[in-house]
Amino acid sequence: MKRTMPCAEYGDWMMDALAGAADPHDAVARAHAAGCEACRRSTESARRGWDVFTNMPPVAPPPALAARTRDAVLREMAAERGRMAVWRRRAAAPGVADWRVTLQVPLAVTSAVLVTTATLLLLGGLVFASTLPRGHLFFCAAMYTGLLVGAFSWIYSATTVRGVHLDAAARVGILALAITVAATTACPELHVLAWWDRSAFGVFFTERLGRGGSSLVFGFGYGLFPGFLAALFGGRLLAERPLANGLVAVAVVFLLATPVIYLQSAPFTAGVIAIWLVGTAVGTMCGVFGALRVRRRVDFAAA
Amino acid sequence: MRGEETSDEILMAAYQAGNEAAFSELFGRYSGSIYGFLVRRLGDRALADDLYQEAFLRLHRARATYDARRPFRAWIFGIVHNLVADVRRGRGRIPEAVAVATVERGAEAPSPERLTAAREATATLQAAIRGLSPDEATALLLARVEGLGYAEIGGVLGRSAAAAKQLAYRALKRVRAAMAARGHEELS
Repeated sequence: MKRTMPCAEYGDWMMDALAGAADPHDAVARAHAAGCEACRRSTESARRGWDVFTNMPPVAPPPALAARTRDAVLREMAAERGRMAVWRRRAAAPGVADWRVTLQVPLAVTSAVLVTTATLLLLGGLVFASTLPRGHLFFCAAMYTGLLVGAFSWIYSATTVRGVHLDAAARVGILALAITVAATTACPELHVLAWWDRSAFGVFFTERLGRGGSSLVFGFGYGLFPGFLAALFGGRLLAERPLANGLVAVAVVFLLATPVIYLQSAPFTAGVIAIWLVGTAVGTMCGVFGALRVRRRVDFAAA
Repeated sequence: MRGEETSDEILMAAYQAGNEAAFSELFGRYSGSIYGFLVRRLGDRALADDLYQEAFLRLHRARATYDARRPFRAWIFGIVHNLVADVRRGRGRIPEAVAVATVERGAEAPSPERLTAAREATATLQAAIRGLSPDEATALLLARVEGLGYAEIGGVLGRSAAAAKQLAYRALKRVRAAMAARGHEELS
């Protein structure tokens, strides 16, 4: 039986034929075109459109620009090689490599316990001087220890998965935690949200947006500044795959901020806390991605 | 002959391992294509100059993410297409710019009339490309000028080969209509 070609298939063939990926003399296609005025017209139009590009002038980069670009990448490669050489020398020193591998887990656990203890001690005044139940404190200690063991394991093993630098995200998260705890400890009131509610800004936002809106604004700032500062100073590697690396860093910062919020949550309703957490998540995202944009501009200008 | 050359994918693997010569070879192969694509896609040489260096720095920083099972050409043009999309998002619509109306210098010097006509036709073509949607413009330029297959273009745009072909076809019709509307049947 003689094969026929529908119009849709003809359109496919025509684009392939123009690109040199199909036989331009295909008998079935030609037979179709002979009997189909619309396809004949569309072939002529497409061929003319295709031919329009034939004499498009070649464009080459200015030699100075090409040389500058090539040199910029080679400079980056040389700098990376330098860093790698230092790392290899350290790793190759007698006993150092074994020491790193053997002590990786104990180091991660010890660091996590130390940071958890320091965090809870710094915030301890809040815990012991408030109506928080003791179970609350143990819950937070367990949460922190678990999260931080993971974070320190990534850092000590320099974990990178498919271009996502988990170690860099963990560093940003711990740095953001330090900034958050320092700011919370320095707050003149026992609970930062209570301090916010009594401040001029808090009153202003509560009058206009209600209690929930004011908590949202507070949460936004609570995540924005630590996220921005930590990603700005600790997020060099995050620029490689900005979206994936940025989202992982946001997740780590947010997870590490959550227990601090939980520690202070006793006097407030669940709704206020939930809104605070939402604001913090959005603020952290804006902070981390804002810092990545700033870093990119600075790196680009430097290159 | 290209067939005897080391493949892009092997060079890329060497580049990933830190081999400068491999990078230089890849740079030599794609420097002109990337620049030409940027100039035609943006219609603005100054902006293309800015993004050209940024494109190679992005490629360098993203090299760890390259999967050797994917064609290198699709991967590198994917980076450039995303870079252009980022700039469009950051700056809004790319401003109307002075068209890139350079004319090829052949063995025989063209007459002034022919030169003027060619410049006008190039400018019209550039304007027609700027009138396309970002994906249409990329699909058409990659298929027509860079010679990528539709499966590769689909990889660049994150679509199927059939969708990439459709985009290129639609773009071709729109370019042809824009050229005809301005009285340019062919650029010659």
